[in-house]
Amino acid sequence: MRRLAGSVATILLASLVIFVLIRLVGDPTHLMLPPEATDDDRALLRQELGLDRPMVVQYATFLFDLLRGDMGESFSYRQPALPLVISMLPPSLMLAGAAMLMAVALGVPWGLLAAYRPDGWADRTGRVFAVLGQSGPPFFVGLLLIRLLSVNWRLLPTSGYGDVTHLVMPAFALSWYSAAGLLRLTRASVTEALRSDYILTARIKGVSDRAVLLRHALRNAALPIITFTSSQFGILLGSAVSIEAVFAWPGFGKLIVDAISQLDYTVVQAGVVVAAVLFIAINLCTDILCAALDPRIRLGS
Amino acid sequence: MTLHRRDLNRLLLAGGAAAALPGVARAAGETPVAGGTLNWAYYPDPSAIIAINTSSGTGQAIGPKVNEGLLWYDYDLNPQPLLATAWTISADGLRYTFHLRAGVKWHDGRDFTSEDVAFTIFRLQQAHPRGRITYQNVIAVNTPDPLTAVIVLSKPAPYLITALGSSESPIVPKHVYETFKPEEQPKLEQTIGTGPFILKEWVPGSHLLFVRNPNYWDAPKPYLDRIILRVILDPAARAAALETGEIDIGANPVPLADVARLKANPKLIVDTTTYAYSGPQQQLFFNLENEVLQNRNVRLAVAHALDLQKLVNVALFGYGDVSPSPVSVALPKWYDPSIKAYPFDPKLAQSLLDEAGYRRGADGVRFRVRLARNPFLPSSYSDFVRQSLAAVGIGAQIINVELSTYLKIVYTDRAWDLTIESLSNTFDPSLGVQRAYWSKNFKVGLVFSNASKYSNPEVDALLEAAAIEPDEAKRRALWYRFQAIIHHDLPGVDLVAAGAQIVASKRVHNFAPGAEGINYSFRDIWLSPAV
Repeated sequence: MRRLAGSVATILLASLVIFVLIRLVGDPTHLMLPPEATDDDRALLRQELGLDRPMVVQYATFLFDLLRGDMGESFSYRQPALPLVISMLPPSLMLAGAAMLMAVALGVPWGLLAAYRPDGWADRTGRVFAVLGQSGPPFFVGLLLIRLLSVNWRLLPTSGYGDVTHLVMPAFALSWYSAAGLLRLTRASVTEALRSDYILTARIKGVSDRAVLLRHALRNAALPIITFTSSQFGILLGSAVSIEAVFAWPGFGKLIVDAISQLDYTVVQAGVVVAAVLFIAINLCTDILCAALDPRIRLGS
Repeated sequence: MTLHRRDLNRLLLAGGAAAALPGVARAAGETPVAGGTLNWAYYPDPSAIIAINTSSGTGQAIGPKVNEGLLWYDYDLNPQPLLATAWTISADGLRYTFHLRAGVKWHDGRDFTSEDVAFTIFRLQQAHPRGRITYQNVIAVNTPDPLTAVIVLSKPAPYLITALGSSESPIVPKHVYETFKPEEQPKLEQTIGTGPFILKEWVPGSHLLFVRNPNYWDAPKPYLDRIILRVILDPAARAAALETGEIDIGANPVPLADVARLKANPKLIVDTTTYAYSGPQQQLFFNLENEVLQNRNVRLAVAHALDLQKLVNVALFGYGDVSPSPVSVALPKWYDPSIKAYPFDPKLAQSLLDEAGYRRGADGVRFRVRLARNPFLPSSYSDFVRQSLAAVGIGAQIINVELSTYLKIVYTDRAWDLTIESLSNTFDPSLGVQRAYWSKNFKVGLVFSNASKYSNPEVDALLEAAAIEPDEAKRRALWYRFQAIIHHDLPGVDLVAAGAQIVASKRVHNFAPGAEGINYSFRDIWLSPAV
């Protein structure tokens, strides 16, 4: 219950901050109306959009409408803002989800191998990858991929939203950074676990290397990995903006960035509220998962 | 390869040139092939589709595929029949009679009639930002029969005959558009016209899908089965898509620095024609409220400090022309070719500044100015001007901001001294040029108006006379006189006409048959079968 109240407060705070900030940036009617428009035209439009009223009144109206699930109409698309934002979620979630799966599939086993044989080949290549991954910006990786895989080798389409061939490059480019982070984290956590007493006990009991690594070390190292992964999901959704632009992927991030530059208040507000709800939901899932994995973490205890 | 379309036409007229220009010129001799999908790269993400109540670039580019105008224009802006088959203008310039094409249907099957024309003209007069000026003198549109429309004016409006293109005055169906308010955009299913393509699907941020109109009045056109407009915001992604052939055509798809690379690609054609309908022109305006700049010799010094050909070469990578008069060189009907740019002469500039009493200080600077730039233009413009000014001892601080802030600084706060503007001349100087020099158009808060606060009664009189002079030769004389005065008075330095580029696959033929360039209907486009 306390958690729910906290979530609602977070959403309200986020909406209030963005509500005020975007209104400080500028007057959208300058961008919406053509250059030839007069001051009267602008005043009329402000009135039509409700921007002539005091900000407190505007915010109260916004909250009231929010309760009914109405977040106003997009200034630039002339469509209801909330459905517009929600319609952009599936491509974004698909991209972030695929990127996260790739990051886990790449980072965790690699990190595990690196921890198992320090200074072995997996560890050495892993170190190179970790540096490259954490220093190479995703959009740059994306551009290199387009150059190589699309323009030179003609294996994949350069950009766009369609079937799985369109998903491979943006998801990989996006996963790059997180995969490197996961690799390092997995290696560190598993290395630490391997040094602990219970591993020694297990080994003395004659448990196989494989079982030690997977059943004991990885399970105990899993908590930070899961927490990290879930926090990455938010970052992936956010940093997808540049990837969405490079690959012409019709996503949530691009919509919001465009809306900010267009001063499309309603879409920005709807986007922030939806993002806040999403993040809170993901955090909740993470906590439940952690509690299920680790009996030491239980709500209320 | 690159060439100007106008040159190409001349070459073709000369005869025998087709063989010398494989790839493109061949198109003229070949029979069009029906079928295929045209992939069109577009940015920004379109908001308005039809330019009926907006002058947005997206509406002008996309709308003509769906809605046609009464006329289209050849490269020299001469009107040609489209929805109107013939027209007459009364000797006093007050009655325009249009005979409309018979048998034209809207996409929903209803007949196109003179009622639609009358409705559209008044809708443009009411809701289109430039239409308000173009059609301000319209007092009636008579419809004596379904295929005749007569526009009746209170005063002559000589620019009207050039304003009837599909991108500027798209004819819309009365029976659909009267069901919603003038300022509203049509919904997808309401976006219907008489045009060669039917808008089928619109996914914001992703694409627009157009399909062939099987009942188009000019069969066998259009040749294409479909057009897919793909929104691709990243220039590198657009370049890659053009290089792989995923995209067939795009306007200004890549930064100027990358054009050379696409030119070298044997599968692509880079068309650098400046299409007259857009009348590009870039100006360096002086804020005449600044006391220093009120001195004409100071302004003259600035003019002599700028090497305009170098500006074209450096800032525009050569894609543009020096355009030294307030009327763009892109409008040969009105531009006075006797006006030449002030010669580049930094020495003269320095002595002019010395004589004006602005000697170099201890730091080598005579005085400082705030230099703004319309962010639509690349920053190389302001870098170039700043360096040129520094060479003669004027210290310029660049104001580098996004569009909404720029407009506020220049037109509302007026917190600037020099600004590099891009006030397009459009297709007629009364619509595109007058706004920057007419003293009655100095209004604080009105963007793209008389930024300099220039005021000259003689110029006002010339502008007002030119706007209602029906005789073309007399009107040209008025515009020539105007150009001479402005060139002397220097409320700004006229810089260049920045060229646009259309990059297309060599499979694409006839993408820009007239003055509207790519902002026309694509009815003539056909694709060579894939190789």
